[in-house]
Amino acid sequence: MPFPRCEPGAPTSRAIETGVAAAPTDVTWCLVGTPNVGKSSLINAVAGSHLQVGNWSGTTVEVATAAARLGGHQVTLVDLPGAYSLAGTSSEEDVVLLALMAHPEALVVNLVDATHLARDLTLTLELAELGRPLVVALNLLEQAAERGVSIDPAALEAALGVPVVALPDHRRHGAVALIAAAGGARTPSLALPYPEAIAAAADRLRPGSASSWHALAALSGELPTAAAERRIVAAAATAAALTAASPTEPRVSALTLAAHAATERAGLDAAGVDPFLTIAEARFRFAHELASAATRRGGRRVDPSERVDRWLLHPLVGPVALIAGLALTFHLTFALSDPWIGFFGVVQGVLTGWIAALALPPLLAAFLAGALVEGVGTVVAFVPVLFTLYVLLGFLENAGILARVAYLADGLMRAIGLPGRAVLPMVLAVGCTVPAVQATRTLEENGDRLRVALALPSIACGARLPVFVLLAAAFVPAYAAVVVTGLYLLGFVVAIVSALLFKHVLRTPESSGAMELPSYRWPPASLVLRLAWARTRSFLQSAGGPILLAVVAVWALLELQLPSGTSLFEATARALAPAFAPLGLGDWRVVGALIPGAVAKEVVIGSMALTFLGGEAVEPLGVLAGLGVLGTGLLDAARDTLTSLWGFGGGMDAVDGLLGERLGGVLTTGAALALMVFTLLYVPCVATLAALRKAFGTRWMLFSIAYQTTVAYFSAWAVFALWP
Amino acid sequence: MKADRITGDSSPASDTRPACAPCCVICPLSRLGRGGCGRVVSLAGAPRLQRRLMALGLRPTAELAVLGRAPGNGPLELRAGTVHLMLRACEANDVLVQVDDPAGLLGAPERIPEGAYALPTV
Repeated sequence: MPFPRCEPGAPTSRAIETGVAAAPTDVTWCLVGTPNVGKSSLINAVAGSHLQVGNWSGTTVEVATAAARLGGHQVTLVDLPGAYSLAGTSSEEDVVLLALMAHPEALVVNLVDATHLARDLTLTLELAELGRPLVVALNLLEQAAERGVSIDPAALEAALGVPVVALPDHRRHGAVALIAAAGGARTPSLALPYPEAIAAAADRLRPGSASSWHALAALSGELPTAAAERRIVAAAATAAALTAASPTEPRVSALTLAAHAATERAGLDAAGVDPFLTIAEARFRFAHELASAATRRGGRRVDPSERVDRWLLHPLVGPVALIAGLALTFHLTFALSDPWIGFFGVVQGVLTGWIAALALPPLLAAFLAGALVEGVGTVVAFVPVLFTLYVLLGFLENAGILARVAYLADGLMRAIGLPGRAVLPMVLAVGCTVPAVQATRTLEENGDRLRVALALPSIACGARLPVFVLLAAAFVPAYAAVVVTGLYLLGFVVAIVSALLFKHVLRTPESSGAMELPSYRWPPASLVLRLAWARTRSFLQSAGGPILLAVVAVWALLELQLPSGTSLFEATARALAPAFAPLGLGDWRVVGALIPGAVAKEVVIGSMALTFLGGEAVEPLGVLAGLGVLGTGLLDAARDTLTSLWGFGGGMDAVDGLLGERLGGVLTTGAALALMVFTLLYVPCVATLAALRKAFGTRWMLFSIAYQTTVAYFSAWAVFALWP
Repeated sequence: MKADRITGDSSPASDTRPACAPCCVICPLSRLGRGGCGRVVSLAGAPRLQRRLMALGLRPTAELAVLGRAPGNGPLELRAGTVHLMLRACEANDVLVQVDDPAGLLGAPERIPEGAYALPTV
């Protein structure tokens, strides 16, 4: 039985030439392999700093691409998410097949983990059945050698019939070897020994499928969910339509394929053959034979990572290590970036001073200082914190530590209906919601990412603390600490309840707890830094514009005058005030402060100070004086970065007692508490909204605005109504 | 349609497998304590989970050892073949294992429905 039906020896160049718009020397390489096999390291070594990251369309799954000039070709490298199998078992794996079908001209570079050769070769066999030009790259040979396993690439190459390259530790050399091998890439001509019944059924399905793999996948029928099945079958049908050039080959629709497959499955079930298990076993058995033939085994030694895990995952030491690790991650994310946010504040002040020194028309000067400098400053202020977070995340992910966090936190987090990995975004949200939303990308399932990200804005971030402190000190001085702690707890409770609610409403499938604990590894610094920079840049590109726009809009609201003489801001606030009267917040100046608070929540204080106490005039600044201030600021930031490694530099800003006194005149204690609760829960700040929009789309961003505002309104109303 | 429990009938490594001791028992993986070891007999549960376990290397006939259990009814830390992995206790319920030494098993023994599994042929 000639199966799978792969044309032997189709040269790469033919596949490349079929590319629609590509120039003859333009090549795409799709990197496929199991998670933690070192795809990112390879792409980093080959492409250097030309790394770009973005989400696969319609998903939150990140796909990295890079362009490089290799051996006379302009090569686009596509780093696909790690996958154990082409038939997806997670959101990330679903993307791999879709991406491969979307790049029909691409060369598939399959990275194989030498420490788990048989398991990884099962994926290689699936790729072979996809009928695409293939190069196999053996990675982690040193680690395999440490465990007494040595692998012969030549034997594997002879058995597979495709080039097999051993990637040396120095990855640049590996890249050179890969380029040499890419010329010889072929579609493998393997005949997997499937039982007669399976092979015959798959052969009958083959004309309607894009490849042997698709025929077998349709036959095994155990595709994860109905939606995923539809996607995979649709992708198969599209590809079949693309490749069905010969008029004799009928263009079978996805539904026809699914219907045919169901009939074949029923037949096999009746014959007592389980297609899914039989196909999976046949593949694994073949992969196991290939691996055994190419492997020489010395003494069996245990993975050194397991010795480390005896301590790190110990039932008593583990939780302590987890708490210490999370605290350290939190501390570093915010302490390392804080001095630089301060420095950007100094830069902003100097620019404002310089603008004041120029003889510009007042409105233009106000626009430049209040809208442009302020807006760009708001965007840039996120660069240090996000870059630091991405460096830490990149390290934790690539070093194999994040999987251990999931292991240790899973029991506790599952008690509140969340997967273990959600602990990191939840902890980071106490500092700032924006990096926390970005950190949800470490979760495995799209659904979990969405519901955790939608729950995060309820957790009190650092920007809300000044509002709490000022109001608590002014209204309940004796119980200020209790009230502030209570607000933090309330935020967590609302977030957890929201996450549980979204789980039921969105009906997200439960993410699996079955995860590999990869060997500990020290990721290359250049990889971590480049990835962090690419991710920061990607955030700025998509979120920078909307944040800037929002700041300009708020500025216009504050600055523009109505013909009647009152400002647009006052008119808007007065119009909104009656709606807030049930919360005890009927004063327009208090309601008004909440509007610019949507840009950043700490602005609530500044805005109230402006309307209650009046603004301060900006001192014009000379060029030299400004440069002096900048220099001092830079030195301070550098010094604080170093000192922040062992402690937070600086304290909280002095609370403006005068503002508290004035607020006492317009608010009751109950209303002040309602204001605090409202500030805690209402509209996420613009940057959070931009982050939500980038990850999940405009629809979910609008949903978050509506949801948070509703929750905030009714919570604040309850507090005001229940306060004696 | 397909049965919800899949069973391994043979193994690529069947020639190296020691004969099953006469006292061996079949039980869910979740009953194995730290240090327990056994051999996977069959997988049950959602197809997506089965597929994932198979792909990770936790397939019928694979030998596995429980290296640890996280506190607070947390996941199990396992070694299956060469793969080091974690698995939630509730998911471990869906993995039936053959254990040679039933002394260290946790919890009350439960009756495995007749015909729900088949012993691998030795």
